[in-house]
Amino acid sequence: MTLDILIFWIVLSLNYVLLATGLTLTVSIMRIVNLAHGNFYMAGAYVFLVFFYQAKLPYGIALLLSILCVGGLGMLTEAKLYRPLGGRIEPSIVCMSGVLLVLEGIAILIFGPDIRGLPRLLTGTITIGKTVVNIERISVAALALLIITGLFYFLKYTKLGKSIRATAQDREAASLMGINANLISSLSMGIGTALAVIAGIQITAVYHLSPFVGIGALGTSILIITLGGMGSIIGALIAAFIIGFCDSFGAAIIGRYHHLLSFGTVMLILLLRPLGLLGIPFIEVRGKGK
Amino acid sequence: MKMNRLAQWVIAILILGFFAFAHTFLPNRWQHICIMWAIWSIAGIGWLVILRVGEFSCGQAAFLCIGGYSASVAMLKFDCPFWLALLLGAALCSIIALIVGVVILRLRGLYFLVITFVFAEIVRLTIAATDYLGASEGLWGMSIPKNIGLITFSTKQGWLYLFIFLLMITCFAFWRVEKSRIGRIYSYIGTSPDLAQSFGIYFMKYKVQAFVMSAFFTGLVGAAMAVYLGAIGPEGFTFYYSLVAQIVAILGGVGSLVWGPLLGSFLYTIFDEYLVYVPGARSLIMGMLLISVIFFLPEGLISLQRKFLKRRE
Repeated sequence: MTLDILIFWIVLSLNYVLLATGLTLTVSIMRIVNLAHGNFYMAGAYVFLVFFYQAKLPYGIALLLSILCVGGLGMLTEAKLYRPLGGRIEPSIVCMSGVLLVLEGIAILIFGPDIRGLPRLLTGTITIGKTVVNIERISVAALALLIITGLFYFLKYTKLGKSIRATAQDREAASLMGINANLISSLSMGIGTALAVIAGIQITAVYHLSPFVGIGALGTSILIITLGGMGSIIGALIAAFIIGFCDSFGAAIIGRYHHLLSFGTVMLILLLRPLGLLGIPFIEVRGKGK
Repeated sequence: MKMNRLAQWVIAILILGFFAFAHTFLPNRWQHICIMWAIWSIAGIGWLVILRVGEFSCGQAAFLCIGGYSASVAMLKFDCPFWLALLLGAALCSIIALIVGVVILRLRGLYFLVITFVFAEIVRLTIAATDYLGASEGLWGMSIPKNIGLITFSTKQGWLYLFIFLLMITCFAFWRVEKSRIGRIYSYIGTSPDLAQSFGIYFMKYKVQAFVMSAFFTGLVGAAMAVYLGAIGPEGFTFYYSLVAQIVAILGGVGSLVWGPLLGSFLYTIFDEYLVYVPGARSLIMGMLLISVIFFLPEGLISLQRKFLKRRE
């Protein structure tokens, strides 16, 4: 019983990690929560559906193409819609709500509001001790682990990753050092969206896909990045495991009210640490650049 | 917004007169549109008052939801009369807003925004998990209120009167707030919080005040809406409803506390009513409207009249 929940906890948390790192990466550069993140996740899954079923491409190529398509869309959105607003919170959030609604509307218009299933990468079960685990859940977790390690390596050791971190720290100073901050913004949005797409294809294959799954995903990832501190990837990693704990062990103990438990945990930690576990204090941009 | 005071009174009286006789000549569907207009106007005004103190709320659906559910429960399980249930819904909303507000208003900017979003989602999910509140199926069968004199609630007449009355109270309350000392303090806090603090204004008090006020009126209209529609379910109160509250305010213009949402919700309700047959078109068009308003008319539709007047001079 406990082993069951333990495995469920780890798998669920790794899914959450996959969901939330993309968002926290864009937050660290743009200083604004991308409300359309969840709907890019949904859009990625639908684009994958088209490539896989309509165009009958093999799984890997369909995955790559949908990442490129939706990632490109994310970069375009950043460059054409978010950047001209100059990083002010209110108009950018309104603009993101607009993008969210547009994506949702297009998905409903093309695919209809019904629930669909996605193809699964692997099927079958494996047995650990006495517990039976779906292999696809394990594969999602393994993929999440792989991607997180890759992302950490990219951010820590490559030149591009270093310039992303520099821009996240101080945009102006980074520009003075010859980093093209606008390009970095687009790029980080692209990477964030691509991570959302991977998460979307993997997670909706385990659960289900409808045009409305984006909001739920956004809610979970927002809860995680708020707890971990906005813009901190390691914080998101820790927070994903805490929220995953509430949603697995909490659900096993108090049943259907586990959402209240995770919300309560976040509220408690925010009371003690208003910037989250590892949050970086943002310089607020308000009423500037009008 | 510099609008002639006389013009404001004329428009207000015209709206009132229109509502007083609307049930005699308007088709049923347009009476419904009028009622929805009043509902969304109140929700939009409620959202805007939080923006006035400098915070961007993404969780107005939570208050609509709490108000609606508490009124429905009071009427269905405790046989409360309608009017008491209405007040109960608003009161419960204010109490919850007070408790939650004291905690979350300590957060600023992005953190407040995302926490209100999460709060609304949690309220919805918790209600969907509670069997007492009808779980995911919701509650229905609230009895319509008794007639008052000649006003009947079995037709739309009574509802029109009720909602215009609620709208009138809300507008009057917030119009008074905007003109008073408190309103000026709100806009100080909203525009330059550090300066306001250096003048010795105690932030939290006013922020919580604005938050609770917004919750009270949003809860009131949520309660009335649940009884008017006759049913309430958790699917209704997704993030889209929170968005609608901000859409109406932003379309109309955030410069004026009352007139902006009134204008914006007029546009929204008409779109909403006629696009409901094409699933998806509503979200698409609303999204495009929002983006274009932010880029081309950042002060909302209400700034059009000023531009028009300026051109004539």
